[in-house]
Amino acid sequence: MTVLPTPYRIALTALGVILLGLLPLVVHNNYWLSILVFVAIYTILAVGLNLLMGYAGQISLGHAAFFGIGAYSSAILTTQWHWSPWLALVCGLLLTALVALLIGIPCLRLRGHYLAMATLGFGWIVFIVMKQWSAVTQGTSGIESIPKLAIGTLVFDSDIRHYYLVWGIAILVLVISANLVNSRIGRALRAVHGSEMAAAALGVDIARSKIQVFVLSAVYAALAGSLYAHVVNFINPTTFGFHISVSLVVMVVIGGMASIWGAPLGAASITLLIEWLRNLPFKDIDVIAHGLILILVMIFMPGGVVCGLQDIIQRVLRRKIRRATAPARLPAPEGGMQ
Amino acid sequence: MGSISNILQFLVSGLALGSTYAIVAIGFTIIFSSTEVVNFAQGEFVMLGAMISYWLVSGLHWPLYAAVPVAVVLAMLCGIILGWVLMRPRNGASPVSLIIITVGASMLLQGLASNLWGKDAVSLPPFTAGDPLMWTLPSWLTHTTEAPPVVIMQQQLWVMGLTAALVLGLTLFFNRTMVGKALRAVAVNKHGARLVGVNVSRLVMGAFALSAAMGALAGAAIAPISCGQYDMGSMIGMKGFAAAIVGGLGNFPGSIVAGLLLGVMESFGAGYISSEYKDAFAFIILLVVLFVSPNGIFALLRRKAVRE
Repeated sequence: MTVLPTPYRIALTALGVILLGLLPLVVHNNYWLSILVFVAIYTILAVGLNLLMGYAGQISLGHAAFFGIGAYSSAILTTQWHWSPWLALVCGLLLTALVALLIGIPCLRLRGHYLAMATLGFGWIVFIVMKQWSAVTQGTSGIESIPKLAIGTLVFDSDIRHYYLVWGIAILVLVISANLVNSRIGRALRAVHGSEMAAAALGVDIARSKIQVFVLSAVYAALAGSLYAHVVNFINPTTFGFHISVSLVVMVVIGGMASIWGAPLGAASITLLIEWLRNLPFKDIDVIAHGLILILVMIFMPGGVVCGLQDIIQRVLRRKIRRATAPARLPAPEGGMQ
Repeated sequence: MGSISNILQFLVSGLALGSTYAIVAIGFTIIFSSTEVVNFAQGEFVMLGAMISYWLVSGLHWPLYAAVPVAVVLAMLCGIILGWVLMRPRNGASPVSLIIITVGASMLLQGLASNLWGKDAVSLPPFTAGDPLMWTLPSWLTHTTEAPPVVIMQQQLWVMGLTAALVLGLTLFFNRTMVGKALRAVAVNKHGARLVGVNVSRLVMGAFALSAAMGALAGAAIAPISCGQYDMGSMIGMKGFAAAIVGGLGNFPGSIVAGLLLGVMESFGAGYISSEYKDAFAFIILLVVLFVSPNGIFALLRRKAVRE
């Protein structure tokens, strides 16, 4: 992964933010605006999962559960307990952090992929509870009329306001994550991913770093869940099932593991792809697409589509340069110049 | 509450259920010990076994005794393809990538199944027609005269019998045949096995074929009891997987015992605690075991024995 110098990164980030801010001037259609809002929500989710998969080398197959816990805490606290939405949101984040800590500590202290299994089981439990505990979660019919978020008198009640609110938070999350990755914790995580033994020898507390990043990614998911609940105003268990967990993995895989800025790309491409595929005359086309993408990307571009394309372009360029500079008739050294 | 005939009734259905979990768990174990891949598509083999059998029987009017073997062979083919994809050495794929590929395969098979066979639950005729057995308990056991008899479906006997036969067959296979011994060698040390002349990649595909065949057989066997559906694989797969972990990943007898245990617990849990949460019990047990003793419950016992 190439790291750009700081001024370039700031300039690129600013450019992205400005483009995102101006996008609603072009996109007037409420349907497309709402899709962009979902892209932002999935971006927050994907960034969190990306930190976990790319930097801690662990996979969570139950991330939708944290998404759901955030959404359900917000929904239940605001509709049944009549709390303020912001307070409910913070409570949801704290609850999720606690739950993630409880799951992460035993799993991440072990070598191997116990986290994948534990999160998978946990995801199913949360899903079953959402469906069956009707006294609190209203079961499959879901919770409706969740209040809108508001700052003072500014109520976020239209698609354009949702757009700016959710993308604002998403950008905040992206910037925080990008800084985190380049901080001491991020370097420690990268070292762990490179070689656990070497990292441990250099004094990195491996389990602790992994647990930290797992909790953070769960908190991101809960944040996305709260936003989802307040934006859509209605939630039911189907939004938080196993397929969503897989969908998030697909987004991370497309965007490239260990690439913060790949997350919005992955979120956008999958959301748009699924919207487009809906028109085809197949059942469950999104499920098939997810499956195919996961298999093909992992076989041919294990670093993610963005990285894969970058690799291919580099290889082509290098070949061209070699051909241009190599003296005629002399065989070019195989795989040299590295 | 706990009248003796109720308890026995739950035990019987739990054992039948647990047998399928045990078969799926063995499938996981075979693949995990030879490749260290956690195959999240294991449940889809069960689904393929049930759905292909159903399709051959009701769509093409095949007799059941022809349909089930063909379904098993087709599922084996899928298993071999999956094994081949996973074994393609591509810059030494990381475990995370391999897990993701199996998750992708699971999604793909589910999506294809819902397109091919629809989303409705379907049921297969039982292997042998006939009334269920009524087991009237002797009165010294029940203390009452009008205790209801324990009902045992013939298909439940089929499931348990098949499981027992499979376990026996596999034990012989792993201990007596050259291929079985080679598979065990691969499980112990891949490089060592290669050094003594074992064709590892071919064996790994064999392991996938074997575990796919077992899953498919389990699917065809339980479809007459609990219906088959395009998405049945995730639940059964996950529970079989829970059994594999509870028994200790890679531990062959452990996963059989754990599978039966999970089935019985689920059956009792559904009967006495809550039928709505019956699917959650297996996962709660999975989490508890992961937290307390991630190498399985038998590792816990062994540790105690060592300490004493």
